[in-house]
Amino acid sequence: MLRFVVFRLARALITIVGCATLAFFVLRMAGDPIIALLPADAPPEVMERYRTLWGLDRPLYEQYVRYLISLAQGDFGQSLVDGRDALGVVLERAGATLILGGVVIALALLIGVPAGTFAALRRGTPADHATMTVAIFGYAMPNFFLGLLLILLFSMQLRLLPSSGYGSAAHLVMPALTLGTAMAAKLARFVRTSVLDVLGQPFVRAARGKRLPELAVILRHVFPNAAIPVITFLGFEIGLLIGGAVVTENVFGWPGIGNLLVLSVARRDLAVVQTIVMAIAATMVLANLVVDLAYGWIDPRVRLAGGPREG
Amino acid sequence: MPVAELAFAPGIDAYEPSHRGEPILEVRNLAVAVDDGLAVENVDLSLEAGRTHCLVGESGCGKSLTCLALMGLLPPGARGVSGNLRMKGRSGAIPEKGPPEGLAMIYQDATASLDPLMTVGRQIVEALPADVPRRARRAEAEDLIAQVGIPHARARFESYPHELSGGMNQRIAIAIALAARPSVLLADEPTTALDVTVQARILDLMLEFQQSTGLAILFVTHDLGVVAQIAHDVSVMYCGEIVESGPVTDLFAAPRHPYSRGLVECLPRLSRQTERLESIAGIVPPLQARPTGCRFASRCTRADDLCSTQRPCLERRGNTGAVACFNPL
Repeated sequence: MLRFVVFRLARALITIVGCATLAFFVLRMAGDPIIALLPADAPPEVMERYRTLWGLDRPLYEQYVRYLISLAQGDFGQSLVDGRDALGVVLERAGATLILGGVVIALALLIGVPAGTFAALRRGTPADHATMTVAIFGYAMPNFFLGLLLILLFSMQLRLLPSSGYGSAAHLVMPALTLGTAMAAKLARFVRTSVLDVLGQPFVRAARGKRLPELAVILRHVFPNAAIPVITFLGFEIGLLIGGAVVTENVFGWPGIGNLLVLSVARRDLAVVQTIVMAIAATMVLANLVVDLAYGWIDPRVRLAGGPREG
Repeated sequence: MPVAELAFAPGIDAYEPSHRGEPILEVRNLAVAVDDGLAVENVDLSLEAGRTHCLVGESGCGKSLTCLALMGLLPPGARGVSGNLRMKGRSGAIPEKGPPEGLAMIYQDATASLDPLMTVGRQIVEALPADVPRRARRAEAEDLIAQVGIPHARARFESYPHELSGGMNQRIAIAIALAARPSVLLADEPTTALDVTVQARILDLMLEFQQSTGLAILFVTHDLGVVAQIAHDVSVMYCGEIVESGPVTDLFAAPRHPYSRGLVECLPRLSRQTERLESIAGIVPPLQARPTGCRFASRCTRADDLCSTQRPCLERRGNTGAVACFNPL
């Protein structure tokens, strides 16, 4: 178990550093940050001074090695905009993204799992078709478009919700709906397929043959077995959530990491962008690690994989 | 008088008369409809305490469907079910959602019928009647594990199905069925997936329980060797219908239906010198293309004009048993 976790963490580290490396080179090839940061009419001497100050006059490989060394020391570099620690700048925004993400996942689970289960249990009936039609709408709609529709309806027409900002539950409603709708819809379809698959298994029939209440059959036997593929799917979705939040956070002016990312790329704030890219990669990797651990927790066959078979 | 009662009327068969009595479970006119027609039709069965009734027939003849219909566990492909079920004096329609009290089943492929994510112990506990108090449930499940011949019951309670062998899982499946304290046990080819030595031990186990509890068993199999070992009575099923029914001795000594005879003759015998194994010529007609007359007519050597136009009913012929044939042997 410990070996498994250590191995996975080492692999995760390689993935994260790989992403940082990619961001490092792409950003530096994409243009001179000095031009983006300083006013267009800044004198060349000033530009040159800043270039030396930030080490941008050094050869690329030297910049990269320095960057890796400071990373190893826990130094993520400084924001070119205000000179603050890049990690601090990113973490400051992480809270808003985590709140949004958490609410979105909760929303998706609360809607997607019951809807998918309901459809599976009423397979082939109008109720099933209706649920799945709504689900297809849900994930076929581009989320920025849904976001704009919500703003038009709830902010412009009904004047019920603030169109952008942060701080109250009312601010959270529209961004969460925007991101959560597609996720809930995808989850509903996934849960339906998975539950249908399990419902056809002989052990579900055997459980029904025990004269158990239907709810007990679903909760004790169908859900745990159906959860295995659904967890894989959730792992991916959670990993993609921060990346997916970029558009939504910008539409609603939500001060999260996605918002910061767009801002920092425009400003060529190298250290901050690199740190965000690493943070996104870290979430993905972490989500996958949690999925793998969850398998072991749910499925005894994974827990004991490779162990002796008794009989 | 209903066919089943005629067939097993007291005094007709002299073997083990002590067990004769009121049937504990009676099925009348069971029919199961699927998309292409009636997969099971006109099935009458009668089970008595302490006796084993074997339901034999080729794969796909409707044996398993018959059991699942009695349990109220028909697969989604089944369109509907009709018929009457009389159990311990109470009669009613065939159940549609779950089995009536007192009825339990051992399913084909025990390992697949166990939830892979739950310990076998908990799966037994689940099957105990609701009135067993919470505190006694675990102990009772451990007792059952021990009773079905699994050593170290306490440790095995915590095992998962994948940690046990096929034979062990079959014993667990029996423990689950017995946990419900049934008076009638439906066993759907419980030994087919097991090797011969394990098969013999599982059969012994079931018969032991039958002797100690007076369980009535409906045993589904296509293995006439098993039938000869355990059956008191036999019903032969062909194409969704029962074609012959009677005491096991009669079936082997003097089968009346040409299909039954075919089955019995397919058994390899040491006393008979043959170059090759016998088989019944022809194929089972598919559900969509069942003939209007006798369903066995196209494969039958005794068939005449009547057989291809009229459908024979299960009727009492001679002293024992009933047969659905215009030209019985």
